[in-house]
Amino acid sequence: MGRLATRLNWPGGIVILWLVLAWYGLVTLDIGAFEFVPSPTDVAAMAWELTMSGELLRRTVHTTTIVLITSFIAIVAGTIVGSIVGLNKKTFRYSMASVDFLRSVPTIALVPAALIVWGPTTESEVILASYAASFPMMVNISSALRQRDSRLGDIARTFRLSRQETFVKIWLPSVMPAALVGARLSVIHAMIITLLVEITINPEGLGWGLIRAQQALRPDALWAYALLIGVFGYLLNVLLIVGVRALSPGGKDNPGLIGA
Amino acid sequence: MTAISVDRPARPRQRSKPRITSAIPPVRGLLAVAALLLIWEYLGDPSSVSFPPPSTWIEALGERWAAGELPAALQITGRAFFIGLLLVAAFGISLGVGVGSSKLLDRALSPVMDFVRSLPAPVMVPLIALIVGPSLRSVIAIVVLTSIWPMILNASAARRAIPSVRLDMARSMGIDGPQRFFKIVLPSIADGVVIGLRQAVVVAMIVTLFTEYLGLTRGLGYLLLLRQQRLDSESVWGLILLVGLLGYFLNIGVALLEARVMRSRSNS
Repeated sequence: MGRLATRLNWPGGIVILWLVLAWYGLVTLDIGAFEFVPSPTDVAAMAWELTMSGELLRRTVHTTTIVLITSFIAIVAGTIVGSIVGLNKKTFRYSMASVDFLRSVPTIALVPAALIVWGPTTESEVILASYAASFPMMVNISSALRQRDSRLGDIARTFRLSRQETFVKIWLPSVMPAALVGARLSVIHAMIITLLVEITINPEGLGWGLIRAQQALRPDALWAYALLIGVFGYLLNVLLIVGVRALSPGGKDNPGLIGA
Repeated sequence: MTAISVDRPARPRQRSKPRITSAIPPVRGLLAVAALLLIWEYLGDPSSVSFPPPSTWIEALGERWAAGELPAALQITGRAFFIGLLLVAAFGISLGVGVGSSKLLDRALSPVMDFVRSLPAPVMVPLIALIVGPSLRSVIAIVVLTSIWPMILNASAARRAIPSVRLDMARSMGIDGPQRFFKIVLPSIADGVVIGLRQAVVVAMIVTLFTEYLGLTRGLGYLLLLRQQRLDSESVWGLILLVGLLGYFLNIGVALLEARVMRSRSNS
């Protein structure tokens, strides 16, 4: 019982319970200006209504599909560009600052340009999210390759491996921990940008449900969407951490899993 | 008497410390972007609605500046961003140190902080905006509420990592209160604070522009929206370039600060 009590985070549970009760009490007793803060029971009822009507499922499927597609594109593109930049010193010197510059442009600033070029479509969503999500992968792969052990190159030469074979069989496995961390960050970025684009231009998905609720002055729906997106993000993060640790060589004890 | 020649031991070669500027990639790396812009300029069509050449962007920015729109927008965005960041640093460090000082407090607040951290910043903006309404103060409040979490988490982790012997030494020497905070705790958590600041800067910039894009104030984000609605793609691309440059130099500043802090930590 003592071990169980230690493992269960009872202080955390008490804080969550206290917050929910305080929220309910303040809104129900009308203490303070809470015009746009619904009670927890209203939010729960709205979340249930969204689930039963199928709207939540439809929107979640759209957002999840876009996140998966854009993550895949971002991971592949980031690996290719990161490898080109990281494998060659000259290429790094003459291009890394450009990668840093492009990475510094907040994606929200690109939304108006995407709207002009591709319009309020899923195409804009995929392009923007893939673009923004490729940078973590690019940066991780390139910096890991820059710090590669030159003795591995000697092994490749000893076995007379071609350039492609050296890259696939020697370099890529050697940067696997950094690549997995980069992939995880890319997926998180893809989710954030997908939601951002749904909020601003593409009338689909969880982000659109959120902003539509705000514009319709439906605080119960707005809070329901926000909390459900929070749960979605939390579960995604947990899945990614578990996945990265499972896939990495040496498991969670791998010292290369910085940031995982 | 035989002269004894004493071979002096060779003075160990002093390794030169890596320069702080090694924290940023070489500036010549901007040649790739410059080349891209030159190719765009050469191939671009001035009458194109989607991809006008870069020279038209500079003209458009000049017009926006002359009309007074750009200086006003820069001022509003700058105020919201920097005041927000200052408050993030002040409150984030204080709360982070508070949370990190107590295992019980850390355990109690971790689930809530982990959940809030998982909530994407763009999702929090409409939520908070509905409560606080449209104004510069509201934008600052939103920037603080969305960007403070990396600072709290990194400051609390750094506080937990302070060796207890250092705090015991402070207690033995009678150093407590504000003196202990500024002379012992703050220097010890400096590296965590800088990492938190780096993450907070990125979130704060996105959130500031996003709140303006939603119309809460009339900064650069609002100007971008306005120009896009008028199909003024030259101004849109010009503003993107400007925001990119501002973000780039901001990130360089934070990277140099981080390198300076890490360097002084490795010297101590």
